[in-house]
Amino acid sequence: MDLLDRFNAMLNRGLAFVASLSLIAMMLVTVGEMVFRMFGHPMAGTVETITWLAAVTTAFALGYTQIHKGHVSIDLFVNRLGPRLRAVVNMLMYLTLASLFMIVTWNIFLHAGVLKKSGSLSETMRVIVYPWVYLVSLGCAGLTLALVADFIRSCVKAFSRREGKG
Amino acid sequence: MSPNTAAILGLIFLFVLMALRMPVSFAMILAGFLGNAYIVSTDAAIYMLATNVWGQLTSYGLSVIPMFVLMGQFAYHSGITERLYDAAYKWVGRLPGGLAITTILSSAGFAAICGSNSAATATMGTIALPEMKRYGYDRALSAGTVAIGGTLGVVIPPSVVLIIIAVQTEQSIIPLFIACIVPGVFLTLLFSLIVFWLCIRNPNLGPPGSRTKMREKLSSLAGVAEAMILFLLVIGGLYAGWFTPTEAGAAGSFGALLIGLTRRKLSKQGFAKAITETIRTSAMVVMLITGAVIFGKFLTVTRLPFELADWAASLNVPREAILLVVLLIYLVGGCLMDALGFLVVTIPIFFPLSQALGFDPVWFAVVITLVTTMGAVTPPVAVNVYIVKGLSPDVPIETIFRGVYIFLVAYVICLVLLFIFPEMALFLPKFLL
Amino acid sequence: SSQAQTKEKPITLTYAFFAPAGTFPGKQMTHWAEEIEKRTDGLVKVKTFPGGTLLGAGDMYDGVLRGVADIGLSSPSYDPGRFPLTSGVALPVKFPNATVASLTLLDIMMEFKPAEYEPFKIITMFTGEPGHIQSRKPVKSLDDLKGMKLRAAGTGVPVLKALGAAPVGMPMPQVPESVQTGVIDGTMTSREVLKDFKLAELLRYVLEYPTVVVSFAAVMDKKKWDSLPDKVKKVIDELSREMAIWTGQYHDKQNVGEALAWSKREHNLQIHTLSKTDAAKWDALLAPMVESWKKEMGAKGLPAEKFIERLKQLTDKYAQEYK
Ligand code: NA
Ligand code: NA
Repeated sequence: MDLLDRFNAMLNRGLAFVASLSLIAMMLVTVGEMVFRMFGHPMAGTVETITWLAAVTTAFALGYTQIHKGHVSIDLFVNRLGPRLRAVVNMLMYLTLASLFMIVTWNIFLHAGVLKKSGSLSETMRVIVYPWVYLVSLGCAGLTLALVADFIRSCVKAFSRREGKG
Repeated sequence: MSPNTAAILGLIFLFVLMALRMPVSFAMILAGFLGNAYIVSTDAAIYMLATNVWGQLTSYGLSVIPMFVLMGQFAYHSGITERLYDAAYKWVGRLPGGLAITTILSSAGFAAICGSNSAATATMGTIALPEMKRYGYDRALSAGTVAIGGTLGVVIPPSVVLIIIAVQTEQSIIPLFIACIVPGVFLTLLFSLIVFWLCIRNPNLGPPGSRTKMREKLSSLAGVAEAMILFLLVIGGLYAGWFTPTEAGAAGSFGALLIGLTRRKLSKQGFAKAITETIRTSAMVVMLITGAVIFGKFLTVTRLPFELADWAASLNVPREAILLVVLLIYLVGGCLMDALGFLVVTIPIFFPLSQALGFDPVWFAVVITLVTTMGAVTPPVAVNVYIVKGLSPDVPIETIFRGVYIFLVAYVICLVLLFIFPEMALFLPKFLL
Repeated sequence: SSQAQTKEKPITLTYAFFAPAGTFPGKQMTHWAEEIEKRTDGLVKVKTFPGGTLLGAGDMYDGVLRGVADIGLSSPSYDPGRFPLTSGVALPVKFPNATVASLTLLDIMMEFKPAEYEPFKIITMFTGEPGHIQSRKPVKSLDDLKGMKLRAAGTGVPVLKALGAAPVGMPMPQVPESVQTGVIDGTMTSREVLKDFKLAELLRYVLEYPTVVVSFAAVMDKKKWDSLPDKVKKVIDELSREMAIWTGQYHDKQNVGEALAWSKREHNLQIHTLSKTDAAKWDALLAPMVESWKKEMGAKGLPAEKFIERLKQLTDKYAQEYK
């Protein structure tokens, strides 16, 4: 558990760091485009670049956000359940979500493969798109890992002898 | 099971997942995914799941969210917003709900820059929530003003929703933008009045500040200068043609960063904090919208929206009654789906209907904009409310909903007035164009 | 007896498109759906999903293969890597209008049967009209165009670069406000946008110099196609060419034609043409694009030379028929 937790924290912190760089790059690329355009030299591919950077920014922050419980949930009803029952509900929920995002991760990975095989190029810059799709898949893997860690933690809680331990 | 039954079961399932404390965005993704698997096929549903996550993450429209949030974060961590609210507190702090009214007015000002509901809420939430908390404002009121203030992002031009409507109904965008100005300003005033009224009834909601001397008031204005510079930079740059509304967030972030650095108010830690907060908020907001879109696609493949629209179009009742039914459908659609998704599906049916019934196209566009915009704060798919919840995790969701509902009265009043006096929307475009 | 039953069982086809129903490809979709229902005596029902409500531009074709929709209409121009031979139609090859370009596209794809459509049954293909420069200030020469910021996408970008303009990339819905505030000086697209986006209010000048088209292909998964009864297949096949003509004519005459008439009437739109020598000069600047495409595709082992040659023959042939 401890090992998984540490790996989870390390990976997602690393991804979040790249997300931060990507965020700053988004700002600089957009401001750069404005300046170049003012001087009569716009870069027609900026829109494409921005969308890919945006994808890395948000995808790489998904797991980090999950670790900080930043994805909004409604705790109106579950709080009325006992701690043990709550842990069981959590366990099932995290198992479902980890599976869901495993499907998402794997299928975005496959989608990248399809784009690679078909020789897909972006419309304007005519460059390959699939590496960005692999990156988004990696971001989703970070989220999946965070959800697996949450699942195991809730298992420990649900099956621990004494309440509140684990 | 008929597709319509599946749609209703899908909604119930979504409610159950949310009640079990599944993150709202993931619950919408899961319910939508399972629904698509049932209606179309598992293989198709898996494909839609993967490509929609990729598609929303790379959507150019959503790329404004990280940029506007970053602007708010830089402004917050360089103390720009703190000094803005300090000044506001010194000037209007004694007024009942003065800071909440400041938030509403700032939201309206921000709406003139930003055309997206979610970006407006995320940005104003970043700025205003910590400040109102600092001055001991009631949490329901603070959260409510931010969530409802965010809806102005769509009503006050520029507006993503209005652009979609204009394109779909083959109307000119500029008159639509202008037609929304009066309703937008009117809503802003009504929201402020509601805050005022709430705080007169219960002064604890927005505790009034102590008396401040004129000298203090005047000196506080120096603190507003930075916020004004930032605002003028963004508005000015927008209207001078330096950048598009989509690029305004990046320009604003860069401006806020420069102000923070030149005033030496943005520390290294503040900078790092601004960045990490931004990526977290962005991930949360973009996932919420991805969820709303995937769940919306499920409702679309059940063809429920199409059938509702066809049914309303076939009603044999007076035209005002048909219009009311149409608006009711938009209201319900706004509750259940991402507003844009619902508009795209239904406009091809409802717009020609409204024309056949002889309603003014501009007026009709303004009215459905207002009605669907309310959807951003009505459950279960209440993106603005969830964004506010994400920004202040310790406030219970029912508190936020409680805080926001009273403001829907303003929307209802505005809609009623639009019915009685269509000129409220139509006068300005006629006068100016 | 089971055969008799399945024969009469109505067939439902879902048809997805990424843009709104009111656009010309959307009108085409609705018209096709009506014709199919009529010509099969109601045996086939078509449920349309416009506006990206089911599939978007980028995931349309794989979505069809995965069974999200039975038929998908998207633009192969959005993915020049996946549809290399189709990208030849998006070169500056001097199509005079959409009808000529649409028929040329459909015919040439039926002749060459490129591998890029391997898993698909082509329902129909067509194009928009060639992009024209629509600008705030008149463009009558290369000098006027120099450094002008014009919105463009796809092959429009290298075209504008070759002519010395400054191509700006942005989604179409952003164009009106960007023109309004002066972020851009105009656009190089098909000209229905003058009316659809009311651009004629600000862009009062059009240069009558056709550049490049955007292609569209409506496709069905081959396995799905094989499962259809013969009489339905026959109806779909006979509609294929009819739809290319119908769409081209609708776009040229009603869509663009009315937009131009409206713009002239309401906003005094001015249309300029290039002198013969100037037009030749412009053509010469764009010719290298075709040559480098031929080289690039030839290197991939595609019949690029033959393709362009045939393209020109077909264009000339249809240009006689559809002026
Ligand atoms: Na706005
Ligand atoms: Na809602």
